[in-house]
Amino acid sequence: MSSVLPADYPNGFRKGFWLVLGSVSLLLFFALLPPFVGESMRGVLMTAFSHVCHQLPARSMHIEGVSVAVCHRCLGAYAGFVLGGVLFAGLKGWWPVPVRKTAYLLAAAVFPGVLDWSGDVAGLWTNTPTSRMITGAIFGIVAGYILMLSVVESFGDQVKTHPEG
Amino acid sequence: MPDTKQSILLGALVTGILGTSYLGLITTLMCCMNVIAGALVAIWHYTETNELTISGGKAAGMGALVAVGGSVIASVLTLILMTAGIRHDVVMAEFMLNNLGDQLPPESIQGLEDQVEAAIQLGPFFFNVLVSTAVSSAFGAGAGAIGAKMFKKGGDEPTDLSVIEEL
Repeated sequence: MSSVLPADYPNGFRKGFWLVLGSVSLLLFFALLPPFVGESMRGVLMTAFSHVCHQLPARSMHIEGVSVAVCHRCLGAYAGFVLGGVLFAGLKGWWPVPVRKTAYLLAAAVFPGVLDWSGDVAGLWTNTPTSRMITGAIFGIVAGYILMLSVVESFGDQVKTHPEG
Repeated sequence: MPDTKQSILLGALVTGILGTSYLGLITTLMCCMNVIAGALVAIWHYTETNELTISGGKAAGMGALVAVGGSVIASVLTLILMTAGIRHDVVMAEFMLNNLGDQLPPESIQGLEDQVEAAIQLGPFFFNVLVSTAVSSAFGAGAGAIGAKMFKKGGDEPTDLSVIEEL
Protein backbone atom coordinates (compact mmCIF):
# COMPACT_ATOMS: atom_id res chain seq x y z
CA MET A 1 0.00 0.00 0.00
CA SER A 2 2.83 2.41 0.85
CA SER A 3 4.11 2.27 -2.74
CA VAL A 4 0.88 3.88 -3.96
CA LEU A 5 1.97 7.22 -2.52
CA PRO A 6 5.57 8.39 -3.04
CA ALA A 7 7.77 8.48 0.05
CA ASP A 8 8.04 12.29 0.07
CA TYR A 9 4.30 12.72 0.72
CA PRO A 10 3.71 14.15 4.24
CA ASN A 11 2.08 12.07 6.95
CA GLY A 12 -1.12 14.15 7.18
CA PHE A 13 -1.57 13.81 3.45
CA ARG A 14 -1.31 10.05 3.72
CA LYS A 15 -3.84 9.85 6.55
CA GLY A 16 -6.37 12.04 4.74
CA PHE A 17 -5.80 10.25 1.44
CA TRP A 18 -6.41 6.77 2.85
CA LEU A 19 -9.35 7.90 4.96
CA VAL A 20 -11.18 9.39 1.98
CA LEU A 21 -10.13 6.74 -0.53
CA GLY A 22 -11.12 3.96 1.88
CA SER A 23 -14.51 5.54 2.57
CA VAL A 24 -15.48 6.20 -1.04
CA SER A 25 -14.17 2.78 -2.11
CA LEU A 26 -16.34 1.13 0.55
CA LEU A 27 -19.34 3.09 -0.69
CA LEU A 28 -18.72 1.86 -4.24
CA PHE A 29 -18.13 -1.69 -2.98
CA PHE A 30 -21.41 -1.83 -1.04
CA ALA A 31 -23.33 -0.31 -3.95
CA LEU A 32 -22.03 -3.08 -6.25
CA LEU A 33 -22.50 -5.89 -3.72
CA PRO A 34 -26.24 -6.85 -3.98
CA PRO A 35 -25.87 -9.25 -6.95
CA PHE A 36 -23.22 -11.24 -5.08
CA VAL A 37 -25.01 -11.82 -1.74
CA GLY A 38 -28.06 -13.71 -0.49
CA GLU A 39 -31.57 -12.35 -0.54
CA SER A 40 -31.73 -11.05 3.05
CA MET A 41 -28.39 -9.24 2.83
CA ARG A 42 -29.42 -7.88 -0.57
CA GLY A 43 -32.56 -6.46 1.03
CA VAL A 44 -30.50 -4.71 3.72
CA LEU A 45 -28.14 -3.21 1.12
CA MET A 46 -30.99 -2.03 -1.10
CA THR A 47 -32.69 -0.46 1.93
CA ALA A 48 -29.45 1.22 3.00
CA PHE A 49 -29.16 3.03 -0.33
CA SER A 50 -32.91 3.63 -0.77
CA HIS A 51 -32.78 7.13 0.74
CA VAL A 52 -29.94 8.30 -1.48
CA CYS A 53 -31.04 6.87 -4.85
CA HIS A 54 -34.31 6.06 -6.64
CA GLN A 55 -32.99 2.56 -7.57
CA LEU A 56 -35.32 2.29 -10.59
CA PRO A 57 -34.49 -1.07 -12.22
CA ALA A 58 -34.65 0.35 -15.76
CA ARG A 59 -32.02 2.93 -14.82
CA SER A 60 -29.71 0.66 -12.85
CA MET A 61 -26.94 -1.73 -13.81
CA HIS A 62 -27.73 -5.45 -13.52
CA ILE A 63 -25.24 -8.23 -12.91
CA GLU A 64 -26.57 -11.70 -13.71
CA GLY A 65 -30.10 -10.29 -13.66
CA VAL A 66 -29.79 -8.64 -10.24
CA SER A 67 -29.74 -4.86 -9.88
CA VAL A 68 -26.93 -3.11 -8.01
CA ALA A 69 -27.98 -0.80 -5.15
CA VAL A 70 -27.89 2.50 -7.05
CA CYS A 71 -28.78 3.88 -10.49
CA HIS A 72 -26.33 4.37 -13.38
CA ARG A 73 -25.72 8.04 -12.58
CA CYS A 74 -25.06 7.41 -8.88
CA LEU A 75 -22.78 4.48 -9.73
CA GLY A 76 -20.83 6.75 -12.09
CA ALA A 77 -20.58 9.36 -9.34
CA TYR A 78 -19.32 6.79 -6.80
CA ALA A 79 -16.67 5.57 -9.23
CA GLY A 80 -15.84 9.23 -9.87
CA PHE A 81 -15.29 9.84 -6.14
CA VAL A 82 -12.61 7.13 -6.18
CA LEU A 83 -11.05 8.40 -9.41
CA GLY A 84 -11.07 12.01 -8.14
CA GLY A 85 -9.23 10.93 -4.99
CA VAL A 86 -6.61 8.99 -6.94
CA LEU A 87 -6.22 11.92 -9.34
CA PHE A 88 -5.60 14.22 -6.36
CA ALA A 89 -2.72 12.02 -5.20
CA GLY A 90 -1.40 11.77 -8.77
CA LEU A 91 -1.23 15.57 -8.98
CA LYS A 92 0.62 15.59 -5.63
CA GLY A 93 -2.18 17.54 -4.03
CA TRP A 94 -1.85 20.46 -6.44
CA TRP A 95 -5.04 22.47 -6.62
CA PRO A 96 -5.37 23.74 -10.20
CA VAL A 97 -8.32 26.07 -9.67
CA PRO A 98 -8.47 29.07 -7.32
CA VAL A 99 -10.13 27.90 -4.11
CA ARG A 100 -12.66 30.76 -4.28
CA LYS A 101 -14.04 29.15 -7.46
CA THR A 102 -14.94 25.82 -5.81
CA ALA A 103 -18.71 26.44 -5.90
CA TYR A 104 -18.61 27.37 -9.60
CA LEU A 105 -16.54 24.31 -10.41
CA LEU A 106 -19.03 22.04 -8.63
CA ALA A 107 -21.93 23.73 -10.43
CA ALA A 108 -20.14 23.19 -13.75
CA ALA A 109 -19.60 19.51 -12.85
CA VAL A 110 -23.30 19.02 -12.09
CA PHE A 111 -24.35 20.73 -15.33
CA PRO A 112 -23.73 17.82 -17.80
CA GLY A 113 -25.91 15.54 -15.65
CA VAL A 114 -28.67 18.13 -15.43
CA LEU A 115 -28.49 18.66 -19.21
CA ASP A 116 -28.57 14.91 -19.91
CA TRP A 117 -31.55 14.43 -17.57
CA SER A 118 -33.55 17.49 -18.64
CA GLY A 119 -33.09 16.77 -22.37
CA ASP A 120 -34.51 13.30 -21.78
CA VAL A 121 -37.44 14.63 -19.75
CA ALA A 122 -38.16 17.31 -22.37
CA GLY A 123 -38.10 14.68 -25.14
CA LEU A 124 -35.15 16.28 -26.96
CA TRP A 125 -33.11 13.07 -26.76
CA THR A 126 -33.08 9.76 -24.94
CA ASN A 127 -30.28 9.40 -22.45
CA THR A 128 -28.49 6.07 -22.19
CA PRO A 129 -26.81 4.09 -19.40
CA THR A 130 -23.46 5.30 -20.77
CA SER A 131 -24.47 8.97 -20.82
CA ARG A 132 -25.88 8.68 -17.31
CA MET A 133 -22.75 6.99 -15.96
CA ILE A 134 -20.38 9.44 -17.69
CA THR A 135 -22.24 12.53 -16.48
CA GLY A 136 -22.39 11.06 -12.98
CA ALA A 137 -18.65 10.35 -13.12
CA ILE A 138 -17.85 13.94 -14.19
CA PHE A 139 -19.54 15.21 -11.03
CA GLY A 140 -17.98 12.43 -8.95
CA ILE A 141 -14.41 13.16 -10.07
CA VAL A 142 -14.71 16.86 -9.23
CA ALA A 143 -16.51 16.21 -5.93
CA GLY A 144 -14.01 13.48 -4.98
CA TYR A 145 -11.10 15.82 -5.73
CA ILE A 146 -12.56 18.62 -3.59
CA LEU A 147 -13.43 16.18 -0.81
CA MET A 148 -9.86 14.87 -0.77
CA LEU A 149 -8.46 18.41 -0.78
CA SER A 150 -10.67 19.41 2.15
CA VAL A 151 -9.87 16.36 4.28
CA VAL A 152 -6.12 16.38 3.55
CA GLU A 153 -5.97 20.06 4.54
CA SER A 154 -7.83 19.33 7.76
CA PHE A 155 -4.99 16.94 8.67
CA GLY A 156 -2.72 19.96 8.60
CA ASP A 157 -1.09 19.69 5.19
CA GLN A 158 -1.32 22.83 3.14
CA VAL A 159 -2.12 22.02 -0.47
CA LYS A 160 -0.28 23.84 -3.22
CA THR A 161 -2.71 26.16 -4.94
CA HIS A 162 -3.05 28.11 -8.13
CA PRO A 163 -1.37 31.55 -7.81
CA GLU A 164 -4.78 33.25 -7.51
CA GLY A 165 -5.93 30.78 -4.82
CA MET B 1 -14.72 27.43 18.27
CA PRO B 2 -18.32 28.73 18.47
CA ASP B 3 -21.20 26.37 19.12
CA THR B 4 -22.34 24.39 16.11
CA LYS B 5 -25.76 23.22 17.40
CA GLN B 6 -27.83 25.97 15.77
CA SER B 7 -26.26 25.41 12.34
CA ILE B 8 -26.63 21.62 12.63
CA LEU B 9 -30.28 22.01 13.62
CA LEU B 10 -30.94 24.34 10.68
CA GLY B 11 -29.29 21.89 8.27
CA ALA B 12 -31.18 18.97 9.81
CA LEU B 13 -34.46 20.83 9.34
CA VAL B 14 -33.65 21.40 5.65
CA THR B 15 -32.66 17.74 5.21
CA GLY B 16 -35.67 16.54 7.17
CA ILE B 17 -38.29 18.62 5.38
CA LEU B 18 -36.84 17.82 1.95
CA GLY B 19 -36.76 14.13 2.89
CA THR B 20 -40.38 13.94 4.06
CA SER B 21 -43.01 11.90 2.24
CA TYR B 22 -43.43 12.93 -1.43
CA LEU B 23 -40.67 15.56 -1.16
CA GLY B 24 -38.38 12.71 -0.14
CA LEU B 25 -39.29 10.82 -3.30
CA ILE B 26 -38.41 13.85 -5.43
CA THR B 27 -35.08 14.49 -3.72
CA THR B 28 -34.22 10.78 -3.97
CA LEU B 29 -34.71 11.08 -7.74
CA MET B 30 -32.01 13.78 -7.56
CA CYS B 31 -29.67 11.45 -5.68
CA CYS B 32 -29.72 12.42 -1.97
CA MET B 33 -30.12 16.13 -2.70
CA ASN B 34 -31.82 16.59 0.69
CA VAL B 35 -28.75 15.42 2.61
CA ILE B 36 -26.33 17.44 0.47
CA ALA B 37 -28.48 20.58 0.68
CA GLY B 38 -28.86 20.29 4.47
CA ALA B 39 -25.12 19.78 5.07
CA LEU B 40 -24.21 22.71 2.80
CA VAL B 41 -26.78 24.98 4.48
CA ALA B 42 -25.36 24.06 7.91
CA ILE B 43 -21.76 24.86 6.88
CA TRP B 44 -22.81 28.04 5.09
CA HIS B 45 -24.78 29.20 8.15
CA TYR B 46 -21.90 28.41 10.52
CA THR B 47 -19.21 30.18 8.49
CA GLU B 48 -21.47 33.13 7.66
CA THR B 49 -22.71 33.65 11.23
CA ASN B 50 -19.29 33.35 12.85
CA GLU B 51 -17.21 34.83 10.00
CA LEU B 52 -14.71 31.98 10.04
CA THR B 53 -13.28 29.17 7.97
CA ILE B 54 -14.03 25.67 9.21
CA SER B 55 -11.72 22.66 8.77
CA GLY B 56 -12.80 19.81 6.49
CA GLY B 57 -12.76 17.32 9.39
CA LYS B 58 -15.01 19.42 11.62
CA ALA B 59 -17.35 20.17 8.68
CA ALA B 60 -17.57 16.44 7.91
CA GLY B 61 -18.62 15.78 11.50
CA MET B 62 -21.26 18.52 11.27
CA GLY B 63 -22.51 17.13 7.94
CA ALA B 64 -22.88 13.64 9.39
CA LEU B 65 -24.88 14.99 12.35
CA VAL B 66 -27.08 16.98 9.95
CA ALA B 67 -27.84 13.75 8.05
CA VAL B 68 -28.69 11.86 11.26
CA GLY B 69 -30.86 14.72 12.59
CA GLY B 70 -32.52 15.16 9.20
CA SER B 71 -33.28 11.47 9.04
CA VAL B 72 -34.99 11.58 12.44
CA ILE B 73 -37.03 14.66 11.50
CA ALA B 74 -38.03 13.19 8.11
CA SER B 75 -39.03 9.89 9.75
CA VAL B 76 -41.25 11.54 12.35
CA LEU B 77 -42.90 13.84 9.79
CA THR B 78 -43.36 11.00 7.30
CA LEU B 79 -44.86 8.74 9.95
CA ILE B 80 -47.33 11.46 10.98
CA LEU B 81 -48.37 11.95 7.34
CA MET B 82 -48.65 8.20 6.75
CA THR B 83 -50.83 7.84 9.85
CA ALA B 84 -53.00 10.64 8.44
CA GLY B 85 -53.43 8.63 5.24
CA ILE B 86 -50.83 10.28 3.00
CA ARG B 87 -49.13 7.07 1.82
CA HIS B 88 -46.29 8.03 -0.54
CA ASP B 89 -44.89 4.50 -0.13
CA VAL B 90 -48.08 2.94 -1.55
CA VAL B 91 -48.17 5.40 -4.47
CA MET B 92 -44.51 4.61 -5.25
CA ALA B 93 -45.14 0.84 -5.04
CA GLU B 94 -48.14 1.17 -7.38
CA PHE B 95 -46.07 3.26 -9.81
CA MET B 96 -43.34 0.60 -9.81
CA LEU B 97 -45.85 -2.19 -10.38
CA ASN B 98 -47.70 -0.39 -13.16
CA ASN B 99 -44.71 0.98 -15.04
CA LEU B 100 -41.82 -1.34 -14.28
CA GLY B 101 -43.55 -4.59 -13.34
CA ASP B 102 -42.29 -6.42 -16.42
CA GLN B 103 -38.66 -5.65 -15.52
CA LEU B 104 -38.82 -6.78 -11.90
CA PRO B 105 -38.02 -10.24 -10.53
CA PRO B 106 -41.05 -12.14 -9.12
CA GLU B 107 -39.98 -11.69 -5.46
CA SER B 108 -39.80 -7.90 -5.94
CA ILE B 109 -43.28 -7.86 -7.49
CA GLN B 110 -44.63 -9.87 -4.56
CA GLY B 111 -42.94 -7.49 -2.10
CA LEU B 112 -44.45 -4.44 -3.79
CA GLU B 113 -47.92 -6.03 -3.90
CA ASP B 114 -47.65 -6.76 -0.18
CA GLN B 115 -46.59 -3.15 0.43
CA VAL B 116 -49.64 -1.78 -1.41
CA GLU B 117 -52.00 -3.87 0.72
CA ALA B 118 -50.16 -3.55 4.04
CA ALA B 119 -50.98 -1.26 6.93
CA ILE B 120 -48.20 0.88 8.38
CA GLN B 121 -45.66 -1.42 10.03
CA LEU B 122 -43.44 0.36 12.52
CA GLY B 123 -40.76 -2.37 12.67
CA PRO B 124 -39.80 -2.32 8.98
CA PHE B 125 -40.26 1.46 8.88
CA PHE B 126 -37.72 2.11 11.64
CA PHE B 127 -35.37 -0.59 10.34
CA ASN B 128 -35.43 1.20 6.98
CA VAL B 129 -34.67 4.52 8.70
CA LEU B 130 -31.84 3.06 10.79
CA VAL B 131 -30.05 1.34 7.91
CA SER B 132 -30.45 4.18 5.43
CA THR B 133 -29.21 6.72 7.99
CA ALA B 134 -25.82 5.00 7.96
CA VAL B 135 -25.37 5.69 4.24
CA SER B 136 -26.96 9.15 4.48
CA SER B 137 -24.52 10.17 7.23
CA ALA B 138 -21.59 9.22 4.96
CA PHE B 139 -23.02 11.53 2.29
CA GLY B 140 -23.61 14.23 4.90
CA ALA B 141 -19.97 13.99 6.00
CA GLY B 142 -18.75 14.26 2.41
CA ALA B 143 -21.03 17.19 1.63
CA GLY B 144 -19.92 18.92 4.85
CA ALA B 145 -16.23 18.55 3.95
CA ILE B 146 -16.90 19.92 0.45
CA GLY B 147 -18.92 22.75 2.02
CA ALA B 148 -15.85 23.69 4.07
CA LYS B 149 -14.03 24.45 0.81
CA MET B 150 -17.01 26.27 -0.69
CA PHE B 151 -17.75 28.61 2.20
CA LYS B 152 -14.56 30.19 3.46
CA LYS B 153 -14.77 33.25 5.69
CA GLY B 154 -11.65 34.70 7.26
CA GLY B 155 -9.47 32.62 9.58
CA ASP B 156 -9.94 29.65 11.83
CA GLU B 157 -11.46 31.76 14.61
CA PRO B 158 -14.46 34.12 14.46
CA THR B 159 -13.71 37.56 13.07
CA ASP B 160 -13.83 40.15 15.83
CA LEU B 161 -15.62 42.97 14.01
CA SER B 162 -15.06 45.47 16.85
CA VAL B 163 -11.28 45.11 16.44
CA ILE B 164 -11.56 45.69 12.69
CA GLU B 165 -13.68 48.80 13.28
CA GLU B 166 -11.08 50.17 15.71
CA LEU B 167 -8.36 49.71 13.10
